Amino acid sequence: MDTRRQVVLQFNTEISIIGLCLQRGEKRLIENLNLQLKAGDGLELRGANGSGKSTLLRAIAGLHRPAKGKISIGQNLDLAQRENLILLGHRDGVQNNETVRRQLEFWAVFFGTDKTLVDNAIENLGLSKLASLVGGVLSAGQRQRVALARLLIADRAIWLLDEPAAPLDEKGRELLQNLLKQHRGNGGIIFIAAHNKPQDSSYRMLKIGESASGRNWNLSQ
Amino acid sequence: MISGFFGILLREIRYGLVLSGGGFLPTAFFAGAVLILPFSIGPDPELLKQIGPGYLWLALSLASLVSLERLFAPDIDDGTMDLFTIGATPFALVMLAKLLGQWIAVSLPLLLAMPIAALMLNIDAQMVLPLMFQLWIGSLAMFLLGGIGSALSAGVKRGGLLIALLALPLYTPIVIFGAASANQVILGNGIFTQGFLLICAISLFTIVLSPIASAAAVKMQLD
Repeated sequence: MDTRRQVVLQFNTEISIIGLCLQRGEKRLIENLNLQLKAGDGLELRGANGSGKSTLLRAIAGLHRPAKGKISIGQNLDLAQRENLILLGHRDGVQNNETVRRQLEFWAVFFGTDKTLVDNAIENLGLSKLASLVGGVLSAGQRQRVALARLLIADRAIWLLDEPAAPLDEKGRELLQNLLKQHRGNGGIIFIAAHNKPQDSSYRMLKIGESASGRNWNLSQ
Repeated sequence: MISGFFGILLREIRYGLVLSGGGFLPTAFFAGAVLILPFSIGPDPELLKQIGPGYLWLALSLASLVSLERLFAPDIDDGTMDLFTIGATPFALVMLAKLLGQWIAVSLPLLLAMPIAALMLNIDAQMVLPLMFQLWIGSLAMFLLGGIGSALSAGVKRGGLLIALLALPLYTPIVIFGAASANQVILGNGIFTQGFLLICAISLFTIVLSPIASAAAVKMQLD
């Protein structure tokens, strides 16, 4: 696809999850999860509503404290480096009163990345015509594109995506797949929780809520 | 890290004054409280002059409560706060930027309303600027203390009542010292009297404590 974004983005990090247990109230969601992903890897999370996909993503982002276990990013095994990741959750963080361009520029300042990334991201996600509109007038799918543009602007190695395709149309989903492929090509790592049609076979799959094997999760190689 | 801090600071000022106008709400409340006073206690200039300085502090403390409910809740509700935790800027500094930015957005319109309010309460013209300065520093102390209450109740829908319960007791010393120092100004003893120095001390103390406490409270809401 578009070759202009094949700039110098090269990520090289890894993430390992050791003996992770996640709990919400009395309910144990994930029991003793072990997982390791290297640069360029993708992991698809599947499971019923409430099975703990979002909680796992939030735990990796440091927003949920695990009941047990360790998540380490990069070479530094003691300290989880949150500065390597970016989360796209159910709530898109798009501001209603601010124009699309200005809010994306704010994120470039906040994440300390180059402002030229804003123009590239706007172009890549087909937001050129929407850039001067305020967030409040956008449709759900258009807001999601703005949130996806933020992924490119944050320029982080690890993407934690919680059902990113849900509000998108056909074209938007195609665009998303291209972004994912490109990010992995650049050495990025992707966690994606999804309900709709599965990702291609290059993704490993983590099924949460499988009790047949005695564990409550099942990881394909 | 520093650019992230100023980025958020400017964003808060812009949202408060330009985009949503929420920064004007406490000023409207403050102006309303002062405008209605002569109707409730009567327009006797001597009486107004006597209670004026203390009443300005009362109006300020109630007005500053109005803005607290929306201090952190919108960013938590729309997911922005999640992203604020993973930036290079330490989360307590993010909180400080939000608190200071919103305080600037709230206090600039208040500064415009205060001299008019003071003159309406028959306070001598040469006393207006010293009183304004004291009220301005007092509003910072109130905002920082109230911010902790706002952070604690940010996850509660319609948490305004909870904020009032948490913040008003903490405002009491500020109002006591503020009204005392305002009377000292009227008596001609200058700005930096004991009461006002204590308010300065509270402001300095809370500018350190409030961001750390708010950061801990907001993180708890995000889990």
